[in-house]
Amino acid sequence: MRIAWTWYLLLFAATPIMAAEHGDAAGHEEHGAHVHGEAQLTLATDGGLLEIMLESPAANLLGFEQKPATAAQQGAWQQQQALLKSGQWLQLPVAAKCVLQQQQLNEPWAKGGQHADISISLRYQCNAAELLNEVKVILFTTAADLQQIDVQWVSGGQQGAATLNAKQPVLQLPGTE
Amino acid sequence: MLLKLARQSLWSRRGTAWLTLCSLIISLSLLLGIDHLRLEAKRSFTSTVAGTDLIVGARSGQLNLLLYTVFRIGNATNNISYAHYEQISKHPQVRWAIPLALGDSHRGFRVLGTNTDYFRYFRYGEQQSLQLAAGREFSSVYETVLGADVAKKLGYQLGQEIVLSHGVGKVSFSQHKDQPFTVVGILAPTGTPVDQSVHVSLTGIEAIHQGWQNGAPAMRKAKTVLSEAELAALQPTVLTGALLGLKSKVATFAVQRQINEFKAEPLSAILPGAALAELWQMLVLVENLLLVITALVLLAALIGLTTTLLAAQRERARELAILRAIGARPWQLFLLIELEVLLLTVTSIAGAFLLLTGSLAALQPWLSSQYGLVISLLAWHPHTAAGLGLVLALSLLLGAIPAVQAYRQSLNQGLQVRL
Repeated sequence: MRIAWTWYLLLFAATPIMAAEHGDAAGHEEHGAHVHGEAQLTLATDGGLLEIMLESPAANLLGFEQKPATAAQQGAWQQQQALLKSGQWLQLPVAAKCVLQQQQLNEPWAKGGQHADISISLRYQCNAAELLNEVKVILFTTAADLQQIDVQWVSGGQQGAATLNAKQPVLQLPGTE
Repeated sequence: MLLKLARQSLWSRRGTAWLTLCSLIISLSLLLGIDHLRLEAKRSFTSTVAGTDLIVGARSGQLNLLLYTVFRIGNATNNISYAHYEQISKHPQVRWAIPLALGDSHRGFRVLGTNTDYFRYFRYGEQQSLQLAAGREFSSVYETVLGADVAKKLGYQLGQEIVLSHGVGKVSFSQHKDQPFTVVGILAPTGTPVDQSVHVSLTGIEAIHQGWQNGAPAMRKAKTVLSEAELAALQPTVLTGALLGLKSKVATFAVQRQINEFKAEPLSAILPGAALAELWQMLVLVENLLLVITALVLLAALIGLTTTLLAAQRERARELAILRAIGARPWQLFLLIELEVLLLTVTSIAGAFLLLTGSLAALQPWLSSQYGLVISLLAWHPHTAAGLGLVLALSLLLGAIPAVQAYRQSLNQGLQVRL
């Protein structure tokens, strides 16, 4: 019941109530950082909910940035999509009993332009969230062009930041209360 | 018996022993002090933002925003409009929002314009809320609630009237003299920058800037006393930033993203804990460098101690020989020298703590008013014992050099009459 309530709030939060005003604002467009080799990951837990979002230049994960043109590029993109959506690029402690509930992958070439960003969000429900004390990212082996991931997290009533790379792919968390 | 001997032998050479002790005390307190400051700064900063999920301000770097809104270090790049703050505070995920308006001061202490939600929702340390030590929260325009340090240092009582100054300098030429504020409450100490703040309502901030032009009082108007109607009509227009508490922590990043993409005004929302963690990551290199340097200084002092003892060996040849002659065993001489080293090191550790506590006590007011840092006076942490143990072991190891020499020195060598 509690989960359904949180869900409702999250869905509500996602409606762009703040962006709605100022249809008159003159072309104020956001450009996030786009640094090849780097990606951003955010991770938040509360109750049994775990939400993870990864944002990365397409080049890091695919090796190319324009819309897939050849069959090989199409294949690579299909494969990458499947991997990202499956959550298999993350290793969560088995004891935490997390089940992937929802995933959302953006359409990287929707905006046009030279640089495309891939963003994937995953939402898990963990039955023993207090045992969620680390998260391993295993993207570094599959995505050769990915050098480092800047992480910001909220967990167990604390906030923190970390940098992950091939040598140090494990994010340590305090675990929830 | 040996201890007494060691003590008195040291006393007979008190000139050199005293200098050695000084160099040890200085280097030890340097090492302890840097370690302590580093950890205390982290603790103090983290405790201040413990209850805040997001900080909102004008578009800028996350560290800049964090430092000026919470720690009053540096300055705001821009203000944000009150209307947009209200919009954000009504976001369905926002549990509470605290507005912050900075920019004025009172005798060196920052004035914080806010509303009573500040007293209700602000959390520090282990989720503690603010407590009033005396009086009540402000309820009208010209009322103020003082932080614990402000009241203590300036000796203010409830009911006293104070005048705020424009800007943040200690000596300000533009004072809001015509509109004094009455102290209605004094907060209990928190060990955070709250203690160094003078809290007034947002309308209070608005009132004292009425009739001002370009940051200075308007020339023509002699007085800017506002009528009742004018006071009632006062509405805050701009803020420096806001603190947000969310209903669900999972929504933190979603809300952050929405605020960052706020179309009407370029805003930044940051996670204070994450921003701090990034700050520590950046500083870790500097920290380590400082620790290595101070460790080397300490090593140099310990080597100096050994050198002094070795040099003294020659003039003490006679003393040691006499000890042997009256029946002391070689190992007892070894022990004697090591005891001296131990005595010197332990005394210098005690001296270092004394020096450190003294200087921290002296620096405390300055640190807390300038940087909002509240440093505990006792430089003791769980790993301090291990560190000091290491220092002791090292000094005994180095002290073994002269001690072994004393052990080996033959009896007749010392007793021989040199020509």
